[in-house]
Amino acid sequence: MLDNNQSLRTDTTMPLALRVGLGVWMSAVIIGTFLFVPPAQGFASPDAARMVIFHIPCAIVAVIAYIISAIYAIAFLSKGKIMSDEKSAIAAGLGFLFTALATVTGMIFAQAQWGKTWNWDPKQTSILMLIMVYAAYFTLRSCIPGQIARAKISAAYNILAGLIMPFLVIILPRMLPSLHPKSAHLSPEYQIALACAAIGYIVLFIWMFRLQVRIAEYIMAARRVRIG
Amino acid sequence: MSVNSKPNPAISSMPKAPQLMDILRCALAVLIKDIKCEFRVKSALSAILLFAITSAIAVSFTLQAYGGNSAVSSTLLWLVIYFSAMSGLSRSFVREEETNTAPTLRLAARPASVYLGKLAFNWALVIALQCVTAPLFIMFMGSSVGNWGQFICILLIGGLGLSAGATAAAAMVAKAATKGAVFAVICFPLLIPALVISIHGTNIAMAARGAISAASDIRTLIAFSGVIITASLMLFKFIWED
Amino acid sequence: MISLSLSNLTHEYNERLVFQSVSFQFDGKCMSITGCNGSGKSTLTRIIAGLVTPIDGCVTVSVDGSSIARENLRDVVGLAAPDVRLYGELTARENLEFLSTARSAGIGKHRIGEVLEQVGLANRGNDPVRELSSGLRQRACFAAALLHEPLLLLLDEPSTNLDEDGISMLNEVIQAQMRRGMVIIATNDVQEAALGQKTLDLGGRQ
Repeated sequence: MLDNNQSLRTDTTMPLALRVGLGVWMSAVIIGTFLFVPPAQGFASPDAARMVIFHIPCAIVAVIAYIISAIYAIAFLSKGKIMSDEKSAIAAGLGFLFTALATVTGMIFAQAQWGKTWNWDPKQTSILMLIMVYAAYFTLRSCIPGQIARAKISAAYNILAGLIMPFLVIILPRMLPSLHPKSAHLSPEYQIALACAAIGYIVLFIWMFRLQVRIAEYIMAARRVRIG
Repeated sequence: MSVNSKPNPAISSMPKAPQLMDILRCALAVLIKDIKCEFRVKSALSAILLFAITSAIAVSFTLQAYGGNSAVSSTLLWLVIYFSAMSGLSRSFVREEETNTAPTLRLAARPASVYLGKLAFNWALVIALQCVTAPLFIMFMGSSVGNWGQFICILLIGGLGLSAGATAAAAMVAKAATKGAVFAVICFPLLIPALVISIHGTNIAMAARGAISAASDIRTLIAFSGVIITASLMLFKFIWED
Repeated sequence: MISLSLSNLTHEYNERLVFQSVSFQFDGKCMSITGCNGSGKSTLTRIIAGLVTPIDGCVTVSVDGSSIARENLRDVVGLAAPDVRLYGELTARENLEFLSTARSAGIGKHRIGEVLEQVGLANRGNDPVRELSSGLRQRACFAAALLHEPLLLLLDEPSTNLDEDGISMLNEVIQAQMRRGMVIIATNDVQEAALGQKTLDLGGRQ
């Protein structure tokens, strides 16, 4: 196992330059957001609207993570490599983290703009459904004994959930009126800052994903040694 | 390997590509087997039906004042159907695992047939529940139904959507340690679209205001059921086999 | 004409190794699997029958030189094991009728009477299975395993619960199966194990 001194040098999941770059990049995005991006027009609280620069990338990364999770689930069912199942679960877990962040930042934003933390706005409804779907996924994983059965069943559930997603995210919200503004409201500075933040979040996600995969590989290797 | 020169009688029954008719005939056998087993243990079926009746009575007794409001009564009707279904739809798979008949079934029938047979059984169970709860509920609540054709259509197809997701979920939890609770947990996300669309459509069918029609909800329900059934058929061998 | 090949079979359950790197070739008539309790005999029969996926390695059942795909294995294999049960609410005959329709391999009505006769259940065929004694229930399970005249018959602890008459029935079944194809017996009984032309000993843990 790695000790703390070594971990900085031996962490090969992402090059050191990229890790430092990520820190500088995200700092720049934060400073830029609060110093250079103007308050957004058309919001109840224009200053607090800067929240979207951190809120929307969370949702984008969450969707990417769930898509990656579904792809690894399909890969597991077609090739049968147990590591694909681990990767699928890791991507879903990170997706869950970013969904939670998107929900919380969204709720703070809703409180500032619309005066209510929860509005049953279509986007809020969809994200709540996403949380339910993946909470159920982790519950299911935790209660099936046997590694292979667990991997197969949770992969099947993951794919089914992915197919239900359009119904949850597109069709159900159409039955409700929306508070969310169209993106056209945002000025170009906002869109640039948003894109920069999204890039930073995605790189962060990739790093977190690779770190967790490395941990899962270590755990697997350790188990092989123990029972083999 | 020595190839036997004498023709082997068993070769005629050698593996061949599954035919659609074979799969359907086998699914029908699974359905009939399940109905037979269910009727020999009458207590189970009557318990589920009584559960549905009890909840229909309890809800309409306390909320009878809202009988005229189609939004409230359609929601309550579907909640009664949903929770009674939750109490019964996992049974067919859980029983197979608990009585160790699941390997017998795995050895004899193709996964697609097992899914279709169990789906048909669960759909029949939901329809039986609806036959009992819907009339009672409408009578006790004093609700009116504007468009009976669409109302019945939504009950049937909404029921199919519920059974399609619940059948796949039941097979998933059959091997889990704490079956009942997990079944409710994983059913909710799989069934929520069918439930919400059914409530929406039932509301329209009960109110039947002018030109607003539940036809688009019926179409969405058919699409949803189609997606779930097709996907479950493809994924079922991974869920069902160890 | 029928052969079995296990290569590098490894299986674990709930993070415990059941067996590791089992390799075995067999193309005779009768083979036995022995080993202590917990050495994985039952698991191995289930893996061969295609009920359980091993963690690693593969099983190949070949008929006349061509290997059988896993989804078609159910037409070739019959399995009688203590935890493979029939439906208790149905009679033995109804169980067999259901299984013959489910298999859809053109199993005639006369075949059901034939197997019931073969396992000595001809006059108890119309009783619900759960009302049968454990020995008779086991015979009904043999009938289910033999129904589709499998080329490969897997028997897991076949003689438990059987009386003297049952044991001689079992021996006849094994002899008949050896003429039809292959039989694999997983057992702790020395006499039964001796029926095998070749023995796969899984040993014991530690």
